Amino acid sequence: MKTSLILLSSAAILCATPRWLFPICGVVAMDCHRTLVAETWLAAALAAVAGLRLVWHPVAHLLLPIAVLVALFPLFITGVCPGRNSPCHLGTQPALIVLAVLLLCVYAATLIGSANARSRRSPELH
Amino acid sequence: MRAADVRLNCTRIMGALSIPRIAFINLLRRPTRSVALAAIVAVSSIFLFSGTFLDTTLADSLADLSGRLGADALIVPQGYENSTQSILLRGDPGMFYMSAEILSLIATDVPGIARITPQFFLSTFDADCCDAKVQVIGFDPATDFLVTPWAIKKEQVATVTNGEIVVGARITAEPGETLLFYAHRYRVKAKLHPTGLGLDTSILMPMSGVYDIIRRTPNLLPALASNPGGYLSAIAIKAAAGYSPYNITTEILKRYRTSYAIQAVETARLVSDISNHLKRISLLSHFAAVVFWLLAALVLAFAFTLTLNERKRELSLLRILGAPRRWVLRLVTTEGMVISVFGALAGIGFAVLVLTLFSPLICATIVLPNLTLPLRAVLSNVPVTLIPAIASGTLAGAWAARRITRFDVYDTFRVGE
Repeated sequence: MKTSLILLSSAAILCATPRWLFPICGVVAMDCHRTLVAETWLAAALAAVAGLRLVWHPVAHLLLPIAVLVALFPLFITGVCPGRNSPCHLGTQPALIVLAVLLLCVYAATLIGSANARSRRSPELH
Repeated sequence: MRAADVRLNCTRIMGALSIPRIAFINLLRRPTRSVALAAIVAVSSIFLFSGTFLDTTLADSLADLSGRLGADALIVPQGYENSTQSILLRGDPGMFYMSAEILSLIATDVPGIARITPQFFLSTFDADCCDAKVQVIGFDPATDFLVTPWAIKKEQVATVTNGEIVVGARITAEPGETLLFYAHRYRVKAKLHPTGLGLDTSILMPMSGVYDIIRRTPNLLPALASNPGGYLSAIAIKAAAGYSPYNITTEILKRYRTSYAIQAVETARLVSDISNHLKRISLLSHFAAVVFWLLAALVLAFAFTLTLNERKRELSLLRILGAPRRWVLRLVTTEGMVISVFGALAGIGFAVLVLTLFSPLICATIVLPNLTLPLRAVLSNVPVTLIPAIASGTLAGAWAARRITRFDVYDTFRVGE
């Protein structure tokens, strides 16, 4: 439940980052707009993972590719505007990379939590 | 069983029951509590690290700013001193001009000038290198002493002709490529080394190139379109040995301030203005860091006391099983220290990541030249943050443990029943 709530909040932040928190340049034809569309889909996928995790825990492993894609889209796949002083270059791209790192931390915490839960179910006897 | 085997088994058992191991197991068994406590340390570390790091790095980057600018003084039209500062330090696009007559007057009449060169500032509207406005700087290759020292190949800058450009280190174009702006293709002749100044995001061309643009685009600067050669934006001056830039600019202003509506910008004073601005920011960040550190220490002490209150029975049981008070104290202090180390390292890592990625945005926001993050500065600031962060967590744990273990073991154990 806790992890699902964290993932849902992350999805909301991911969706809000290129739109309102660190907005892109704002022109549809630009690279950064394609990044915004991609990140919105990733946020939707993250929200779906948050929901599915309530009924099926292993779905949390999808966090890893999602986190990697969150960083890869602004960096390499769709990219941002080449102008170094453009808002998407100064704000959106770094913010999405930071979000990707935080998502990786959440994934690592989920793995540790799962391992802990497994060890509690079958305690070692020394 | 042989005596050696008994000794080996005892060593293994003692290893399994060592304080660090038990502390780790305790922390892993309560991941949410451990992460919450580490997060408090991490937040205070982020503020501590960012404060000290910004302070030292910005001071370093300002130290040689005057030298990097190249000129001792700049003569600009009255009212454009701040725009000049933005163009020079951050490459913010700007456009202004004054009569070019003043260049020859200053060069011939004012004593103590070693070098003098004109510049023309123009900003683009669209270019295929850049999706935002870019500063175009017209310069005179024959007399220039501001741009040429930064060129990767200096001779290429000296021979740049009309239709050719020199690009700053952060412009996405390489020598030999062409860039389109003002409906004209320009060949990139040379690229500059990173300067940490506005030059990094500027495009430079000979003055004749700028005049061509103004002639070709009459709507850009209509007043200049008929005779653009009669205007320039700034005059950079290098004082001769034995002459002070202050005296030179005073002399220039005394003679021409009223007749030509000019103002002087001394680069040394420009640096001191930025320094004063920086001092205010630094003071604020230090204040925030100290407040957060004290707050974090208090919150940690409170959080440790709360969590140890929950663990009263567990700790009393350890005492009843024979663990001395000192052992319990060491266990809880070790837990505090482990949490602090992880929290502080996570906080510093996060701060480095954010500062690295957001440094251009920070510089743009606080109106300062481009910030660099040398590894040496990062490493030298790590202990400054680690030591107080670890100390606060460890001391908070020790303080809470002392309070909890002060009471009678049996009574404490019975309290939870």
